[in-house]
Formats: sequence, structure tokens, C-alpha cells
Amino acid sequence: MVIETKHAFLRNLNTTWLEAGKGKPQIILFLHGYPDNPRVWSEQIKYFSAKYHVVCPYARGTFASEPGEDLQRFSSQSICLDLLEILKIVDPKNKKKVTVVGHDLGGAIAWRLATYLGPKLSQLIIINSLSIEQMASRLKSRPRQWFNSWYIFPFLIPNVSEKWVGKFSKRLLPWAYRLGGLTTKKFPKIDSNYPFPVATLRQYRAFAKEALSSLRQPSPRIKTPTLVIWGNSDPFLLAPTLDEIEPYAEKLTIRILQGGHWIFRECPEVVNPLIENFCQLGESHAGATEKTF
Amino acid sequence: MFTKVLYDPQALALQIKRQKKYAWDLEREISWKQGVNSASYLLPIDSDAIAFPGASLEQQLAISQLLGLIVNSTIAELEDVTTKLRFNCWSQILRSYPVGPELVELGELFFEEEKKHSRAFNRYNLEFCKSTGIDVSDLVRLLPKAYGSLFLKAISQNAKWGGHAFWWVVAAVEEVSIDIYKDLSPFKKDIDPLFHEVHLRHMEEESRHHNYAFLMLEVIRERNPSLSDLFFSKTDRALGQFFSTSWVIAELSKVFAAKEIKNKHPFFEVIASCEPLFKALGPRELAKKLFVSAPYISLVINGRNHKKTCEMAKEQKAFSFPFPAPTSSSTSVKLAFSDQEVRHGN
Repeated sequence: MVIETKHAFLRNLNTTWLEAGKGKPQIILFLHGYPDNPRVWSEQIKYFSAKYHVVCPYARGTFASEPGEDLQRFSSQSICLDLLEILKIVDPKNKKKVTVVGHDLGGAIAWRLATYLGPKLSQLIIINSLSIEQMASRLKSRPRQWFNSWYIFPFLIPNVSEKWVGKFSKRLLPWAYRLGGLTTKKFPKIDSNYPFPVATLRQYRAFAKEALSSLRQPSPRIKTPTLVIWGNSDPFLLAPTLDEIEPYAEKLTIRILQGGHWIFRECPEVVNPLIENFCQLGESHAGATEKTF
Repeated sequence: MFTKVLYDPQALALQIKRQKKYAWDLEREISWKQGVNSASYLLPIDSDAIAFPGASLEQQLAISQLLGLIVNSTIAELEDVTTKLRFNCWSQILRSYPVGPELVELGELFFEEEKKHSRAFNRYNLEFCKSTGIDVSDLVRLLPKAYGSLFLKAISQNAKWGGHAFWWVVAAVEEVSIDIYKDLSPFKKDIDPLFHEVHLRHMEEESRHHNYAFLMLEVIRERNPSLSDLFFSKTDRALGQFFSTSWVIAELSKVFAAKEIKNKHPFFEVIASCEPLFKALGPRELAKKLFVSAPYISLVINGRNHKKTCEMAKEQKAFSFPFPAPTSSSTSVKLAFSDQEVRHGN
């Protein structure tokens, strides 16, 4: 398996992504969360690159993906435009269908990207993540989420949060992984030379701004088969209810599994086949919950 | 207890496959044509004939038969009730914690099978009426009815308020119905063959799907609890036990309506003749008998007999109703095959 690190100057900023399984007929786009990097998907890259063209972009402000000055570059719309540019480069003939898999903040972007991709989107897979709208309405209806999301609020304070996160960056990542249910063995490889993605914190601020407006103007319902995978003991996000997700996805399957926030790293032997089966049988799998209720 | 299975889609998919593969057809796979042998016991009884000490051979046979019909009707009613409470007690819970499509499909199968079982037991009771010449509407007066009962109202209200007493009751019923078959299976050659067959078929499917109620109790525990959920998780089992036990006792008292219809059929006449035997027991002795040692009845009404449910309650730290410790009593049908001829109906 060859994993290539690709760079391009997109929309005036340097952008980086990992690519494997080039030449395979379908793209699977993995979007990581905060404070991860695409290496968090290592088990998925290994598994899927045999059959899929795997693309894992670095989030803005992570490694060589430049953050830019403007907060607007961290908005979900702007990130989606960057991702569309990446897709143009990896599939210049625009012939490949795309499966989007998003985790954490990457999941929020995946929900938005799904509305932009239209018929090019083959499946949407969300792992322990909510869209910006879903999170906003959850904070309104489930007060307990405020307690689980306590860490977001300091992130919303400019400069101060960057300073503190920068100061404790070495301890922060292992602490977050441990809290999220990962044992040291399952930690993604942390390169000591790799700079901690402090600038990516601005994503939280951009998303918080969007959240306020999203309550007034909810996104359209996605028609593509959507699979939501959730580790039941996520300390950051409460497990979803069908009522929270159903208004945003027409053909929805939710699977709650035993695990934490990084369920795909914790038990890739369960999650990978679920994703693969869903990609193959998306239509028939989806709607199982819908038929019943 | 069932957490691992709950989150194991493969194990659940395997269970779906097994349930579908071995599901039986109510019409084709139960030999209804053989009819009911009206001279046979339905349930083996103890030396005190449940709560009628000193009953004659004829009375013992009638008690065994009536008890069999009551057990059938109790299970049929409770299993039928499950479908009525499906929305509040099942759909709503799975919407609030959507574990996966397999659990939904298993639920669909569960409700389908419960409905079928209910029909099978009611059908047996009809067959009994046919072979004995008893008017169904007369027999129904002596049998339990859940619809319109305080029990059903209480369980529905509990569900509407967000409680889950329903699943504690279902878990207990599932467990009891398997235990009842265990008690009667050693006598399979001596009891009515059709009665045995219906209970065997029922037990087969129950043992394949009996974990569903426990899985639902796990779902309820696993979902993010609200304050009311925490309250209900402590009180629901005791509440379910209180209402189901009171319902069964109230419904059992219907047997005394036999004296009002004793002229309609000799079966009712024999049953009515048992009343003085029952009344000979003092209230304390009677309560002890029903809760502690009466076969089948103590199994149904005494929560301490429901071992798996007790284990689950212990695990979930749920309160239980303080029932006395049950004792087992030996049962028999040998009297039915003595020299004395005992007949009912035609």
C-alpha cells in the first residue's frame, strides 16, 4: 500500500492531503476532527485502499494546510469549497462517485459537503459527529450536552485559547484520546516534530457563528443513504436520537456500538466492515429504521 | 447481562436468521385436527390441587383443565397487550436510542411472534370448548382479560409518563412461559397432546426471542437518562410486579363465577363444587399457598421465581416487590389414569 502526501495551492492557500489506492473506481473521502490529523484514519486507509481511492485531507491549520488569516476560511462552506477543489485534482475527469466519511468536526463538514456534492455523492457516513444545525438544536433541546461540550466554550475565546492550547499541546492530545476511550496502544502515531494544530481551533469559532444562523435556515434533507456510527460512551457527544438526525437524512441508518469517541480507531475490525457493507448495500441497509416507524 | 449482545450487530443478525428459519406456522405446524382429549389433564397439579385440598378425582381433573385454560388465557392476554403498547413502549424508546436496524427487525419479529402465540393459546381454548361442548362465551367469563383492566391502564400510563414497567412485565412473562413448559414437559405423555404441542411450540419460539425484553431493558439503561428516567429505572420493576400480581389475583377470582353458570355445563358444575374446598383455607394459608407453593400460580405472581429478571433487577439496582421465598412442590397427573373414570362434556 502506497500512501502519498499531496500538496496544492488551493484558493490562495497551501493545502495538503493523503492519498492511497489511486486508480480505484470510487473515492472515499475521510475527514478528521479536532485535534486529529489524517493519520487517525490509518486503519481505514489500510483497509479501504485495496478497493477504494482513499483521500484524507488535512484540516485548515493542520500540518501544511495553511490556516489563512480570515476566520471565514474556517467556515464549513469555505472548507467544502477547498474539498471540492481537492476532488477536482484527484478525479480530473469527474467520473468517480464519492463516499464521504466524517468524524467529529470532520463530520460537521461532511454533512455540509453532502449537500454540495449532489448526485456525485454515493454515501454519507458520520462517526460520532453532528452537523452544525444538529448541534445547535441539540444545545437547545438537551441541556446535558452543554456539560459534555464544556471544552468548546474556552475555544471560542480568541487568542487566550490559542495561547493555552499551545502551552499544553503535548499533554492535550494524549489526554483527549484517553478521555475519548482510546488506550495508549490505539493512539494514532504522534510525530514529535509535528506542530499541534492550534490554528484549527478557529473552526470552532466559525462553526459557532454558523450555528446561530443555521437555526433560522436549516439545511436541506440529504437523499443519499446515510450511515451514522456512534460509540456509546463518547464523553463529548451524547448518542443521537432518531428525531435529531431524521430531518436531515432521508435514507438513514444509525448504529450505536460499544466504544468511545474514536470508535473507528478503537474497533476498526467492527467499523470497517460496517462501512464497507453500507457502501455495497447502502440502499437496502438504509431505511431499515424508517420502514418501521 | 445483555450489553455485549445489544451492541453486536452480527449476533443480532444471527438471531434474526435463526428466528426466521425456525418460525412455525400456526395453521400448518400445529396438529389442530387431533382436537382436545377432554378426559386428559392439561397441567399436572400438586397434592393440594393448587388451592383446593381434598378435591375428588373429578374435581382435580376439572381444576387441572381450568388452570391450563387460565394459563393459556393469561399468556395470550399479556402477549396480545404487547402489541397494543408497541408505540409508547417500543418505537419511542428505539427512536430515543436507535441502536441499529437489527434491533428494530428483532422487535418486529418479537411482536409478530407474540401475536401468533396469543392466537395459538386462544385457539386452543376454542378447541377445548369444541371438544367438550362448552359455550365459549361461558368459558370466557372465568378466564383473565387484560383489556380494560386497571393493570393495562397503569402500564400504559406509566409508559406515557416515560416509564418502562412494561418491559419488566414482558421479561417476567417470557421467563414464566418457558418455566411452565419445563414443569409440564415431564408429563407430556400423560397430558392432552394438543396442549403439550401448543406449549412446546410456544416454548421453542420464546427461548429464541426471550432475550428481547432484556435487550430493551438494556436500551433503556444505556440511553442518556433524564431525571424521570432515573426515577423510573428504580421503581418500574416493583410497579410492574404490583400491577401484574394484583391483576392475576383479581382475574383468578373469576373462577367463582362458575356457580352462576353451573347449570350450563357439567364442567362448570364441577368447578363450582370446588368453591367450599377453597374457602376452607384461611386467608393467611391461602395467600401463602398462592405466593409460595401453588404450582404455576406462584410461578406467575411471585417475582422471586423470575430468576433472570431478578438478576437484571439486581444489575440495574431496581427495586423489587418484597415477595416471600417460593418453594417447589411436586406435581402429578397420575390420578387421571386411576381406575375411576372421570368425564366431562360429551
